[in-house]
Amino acid sequence: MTIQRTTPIFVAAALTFSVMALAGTDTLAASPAWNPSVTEKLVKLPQEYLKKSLDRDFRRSPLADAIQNTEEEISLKLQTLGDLRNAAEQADDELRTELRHQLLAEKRQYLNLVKSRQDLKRKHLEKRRRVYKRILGKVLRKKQNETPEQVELVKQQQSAHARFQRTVEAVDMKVFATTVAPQSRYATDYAKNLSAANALLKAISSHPANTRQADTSPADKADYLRRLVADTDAELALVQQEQEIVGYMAKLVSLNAIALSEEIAEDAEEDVAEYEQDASPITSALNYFIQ
Amino acid sequence: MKTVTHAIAAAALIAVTAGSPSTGQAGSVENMERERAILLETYLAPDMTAEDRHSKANLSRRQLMDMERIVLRDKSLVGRNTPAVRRVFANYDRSFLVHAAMEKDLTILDHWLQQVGVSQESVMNATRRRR
Repeated sequence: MTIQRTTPIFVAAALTFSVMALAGTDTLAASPAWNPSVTEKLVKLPQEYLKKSLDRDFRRSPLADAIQNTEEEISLKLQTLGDLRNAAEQADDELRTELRHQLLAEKRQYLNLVKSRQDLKRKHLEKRRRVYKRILGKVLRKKQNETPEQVELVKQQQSAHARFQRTVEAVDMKVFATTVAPQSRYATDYAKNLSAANALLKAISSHPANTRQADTSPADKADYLRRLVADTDAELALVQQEQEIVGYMAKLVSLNAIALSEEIAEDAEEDVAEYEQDASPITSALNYFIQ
Repeated sequence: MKTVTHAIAAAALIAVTAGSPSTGQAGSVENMERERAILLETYLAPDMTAEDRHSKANLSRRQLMDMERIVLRDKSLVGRNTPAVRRVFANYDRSFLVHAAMEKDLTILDHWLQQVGVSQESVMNATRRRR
C-alpha cells in the first residue's frame, strides 16, 4: 500500500520537473525538413503563382507531413484528455488519484506535441520568409540593374507605341483612300490574328480565376513579395505568442503536479500517523491504566 | 487527378513565361532601316524615270509601313539597350517615316526633308558658290 502510494509521488515530482523544463528545451534533434530552392523559374513566375508554387512545394515536403501528423496526434490527445477528465471526476479514492496522475501525464504529452508542432511551424515560416526575401532580393537586383539609359529607352518606346496606337487608324484610312492595291499579307494576317487574340484576351479577362487574382494582387512584384514577408512575420509572431501560452499551460500543469504530489504525500503522512497512533504501545495501553 | 491538372497548368504557365521574351522578331529593326534606305534611295535616285520611281516607291512604302508596324509591335525590343534600338526610338519622326508622314499629311519625301532640315524655302534661298 505504501509503495503504491509513493510511486505516484515520484512520478508526479518527475512530471513537475519535466513539464517545467518543457518550455526551455528544443525537441528538434532529427526533424523533418523542407528545402525549397530559389530557382530562376520561381523568380520569373507571375506574382499570383509564386505563393501557390511554394505552397505546393511545401505540401510535398516531409516537414508538411510532420506538421499534419502532429496536428492529428494533438486532436487525438485532446479527446484523450477529455475522456480522462470525465473519468477522474467520476472516480473515487485511489482510482481518482491514479486518473488525475494519468491526466497530468497526458497533459504533459499534449504540451510536448503542441510544442513540437510550434517548432515545426516556426521552422516552416522561417524557411518561407528566407525564400521570400531571397526572391525579393533577386527581383530588386534585376530592377537596379536597369541603367538610366534603359529606363529612358523604355519611356521612348512607350511613347512611340502610344503615338502609333493613336494614329494607326487615321494612317490606315489614308492608305485605303490613296492606294488601289490590296492590303499586304502581313496586314491582313495581322488583322485576322488580332481579332483572334482579342477574343482570347476577352476570355482571359472574364475568367473567374483571373478576376480573383486581380482583386488581391498588388501591381508591383517587389511590393507583393514584401507583403508576403510581412504576412510570414505576422504568422511567426503568432507562433511566438502561442509558445508563451504553452509556457503558461506547462506552468499550470507543473503546479497541478506539485499539488497532486503534496496531496498524496499528506494522505500518506496521515495514514502513517494513524498507523503509528494505532500501533503506539503506550497509548494503546493507556486504557488499561485509566480506569 | 488534381496533381496532374496542377502540373499541366504550371507547365503551360512556365512555357508561356519562359517563352515570351524570346518570341520577338530577330532583326526587325535592321530590316526596317534597310527598307527605309531603299525607299529614300528610290526618291533621290537621279537616273530613274518618274514612272519607275512612283511604282518602286509605292511598293517600298507599303513594305516599309509593314516593317514599321512590326518594329512598333515587337515586344522583344522593350528595354533592349542596343545602339540600333536606341537610335530607332530616339526619334519617331525619322525612324517611322511612313507613319509620321501620313500623320502630318505630308509626302514621305517632304517629311524626310523636313526632318533633315531641308525646306523649300531653304532650297530657294540657297546660293551657288565656290568653297
